[in-house]
Amino acid sequence: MTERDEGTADGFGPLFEHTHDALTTAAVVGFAAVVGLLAGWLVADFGGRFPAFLVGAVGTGYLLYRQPTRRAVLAAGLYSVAALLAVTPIVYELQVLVSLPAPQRHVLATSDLLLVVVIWVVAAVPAVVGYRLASGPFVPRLRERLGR
Amino acid sequence: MTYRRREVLRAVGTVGVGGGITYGYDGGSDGTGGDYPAGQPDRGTPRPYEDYATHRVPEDYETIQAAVDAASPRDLVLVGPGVYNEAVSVQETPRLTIRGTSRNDVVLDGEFEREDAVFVTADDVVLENLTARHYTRNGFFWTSVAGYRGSYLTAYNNRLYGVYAFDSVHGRFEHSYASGHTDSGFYVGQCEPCHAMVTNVRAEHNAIGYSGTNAGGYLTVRDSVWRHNMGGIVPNSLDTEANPPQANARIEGNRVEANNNADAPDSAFGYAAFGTGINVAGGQDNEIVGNTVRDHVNFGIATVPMIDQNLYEPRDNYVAENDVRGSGRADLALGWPQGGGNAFVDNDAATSRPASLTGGFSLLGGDPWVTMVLIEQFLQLDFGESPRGDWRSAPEPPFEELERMPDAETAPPREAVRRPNDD
Repeated sequence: MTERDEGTADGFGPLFEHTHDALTTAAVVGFAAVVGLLAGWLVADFGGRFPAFLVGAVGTGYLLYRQPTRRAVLAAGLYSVAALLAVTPIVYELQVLVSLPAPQRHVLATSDLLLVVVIWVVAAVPAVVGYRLASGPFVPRLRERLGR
Repeated sequence: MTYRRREVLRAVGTVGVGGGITYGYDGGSDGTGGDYPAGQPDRGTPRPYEDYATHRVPEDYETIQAAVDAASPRDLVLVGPGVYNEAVSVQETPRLTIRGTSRNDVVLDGEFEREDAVFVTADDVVLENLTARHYTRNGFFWTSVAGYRGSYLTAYNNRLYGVYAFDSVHGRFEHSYASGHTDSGFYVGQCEPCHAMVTNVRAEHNAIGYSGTNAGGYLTVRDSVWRHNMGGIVPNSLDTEANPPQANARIEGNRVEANNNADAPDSAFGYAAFGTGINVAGGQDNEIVGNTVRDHVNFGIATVPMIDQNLYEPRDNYVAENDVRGSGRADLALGWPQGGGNAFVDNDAATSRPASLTGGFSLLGGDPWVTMVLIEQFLQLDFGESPRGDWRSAPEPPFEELERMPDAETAPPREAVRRPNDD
């Protein structure tokens, strides 16, 4: 980590004490847009599509740009996407939970569990890729732990 | 047929790709696409028969079936008050009219044993001013006929359909009521062109209020009330009936309210449409115009893809000038994938999925969220875990609110409907 990077890696330090190259900045913008769109899509049942987009995009942009390296930016972006995907089935069921008198009949079924599993499997993809980016290759570490 | 449909309707999925960006109106349809127009001109009042005989039940015949068997074409079977524990079949006498003298007091009762209250395979048979209950299939059922009419009918707590026309053309359901059916209260299926109208009817406590599988072309559903069913109005495409996809129906001027009834009976795919007022499932070139839609847990008006043996994307549907409020997820909805040309114009609606239907933008044309709702509910239904009530114990109709036929004892029998160019 460079001296400049160290200055931004802890707490809510000044955002622009460091800068990223164009490619990393593009990744920040791209992830911010994706997360904003996903957030707006998720909350549309309850209104507030545009505020959700705004908060999601700006917040993600802020958090990602603070990351010290391109690798960290990509990993955090993928974690953000995975987190939003993971809460999708919960947000999906919220509408039924708040609007029907006996919601358990609608949300505690095998199909709901299936929906959760399928979406969490999808969410696991960016999460695993992000983890791989953040922590390096899995296999050498696995071998090291196994003593081989 | 219900079980066959369910068996084949195995999945509703997200196969295929959606069209590009869709805005509120993309000019793709003026609502008159397809082989036949959706709407139809007023045909005028059916003409009375001049030369007919009246067969009175129970004065002249002990049973309605005996009177039917003795009747000739154009005759009137006039049924007095009473509970008739029989299943009537009209197969050889076209242009027959069976009429009750008192809608609420002339009751055909299947006693949970008989199949259909009145089963019709003859052309131009008219059923008027009768009540049917507790049949193990249908209330009033026409199949493979040219010419039919059901007026001032009440069908309740029959297992499958209340008032039902299959593979039939030139028909009309009017001033009728249906409740407590596991498929739909009113059904018009497998006809193209149908030359049919459903008007001034009311359906509640059914799995679906109106279902129209592969039915369209001069087919109008109008000025009726659909409320407290699992799903409201559902024109749909299925491979299990002839002539898919469904196309060219006009849904106009209806009041569609609170179709979120988890206690309604259901055995087919009512729960897949749960919580949506008007649900065009894989239909094309339909016109959804001037309806008032209120208080649905999912969507007010939705057009969604349907998968049977084939994928049917909603295409070129025209949704205009509807007043939609109080929807849980969105007032207007277009599922993904969709075939393009679906136009949402001048609707009074607050929310939509995708946002393009109410002035925003969309990346996929349709919204996968809408299709996800359909899939999740269909899976719950298919796993046998969806909530449902028992058709045998569904609420009884509000008899005092049901319109009586004027001059039932003295009015002459009339033809079923006027045909186009029929002077």
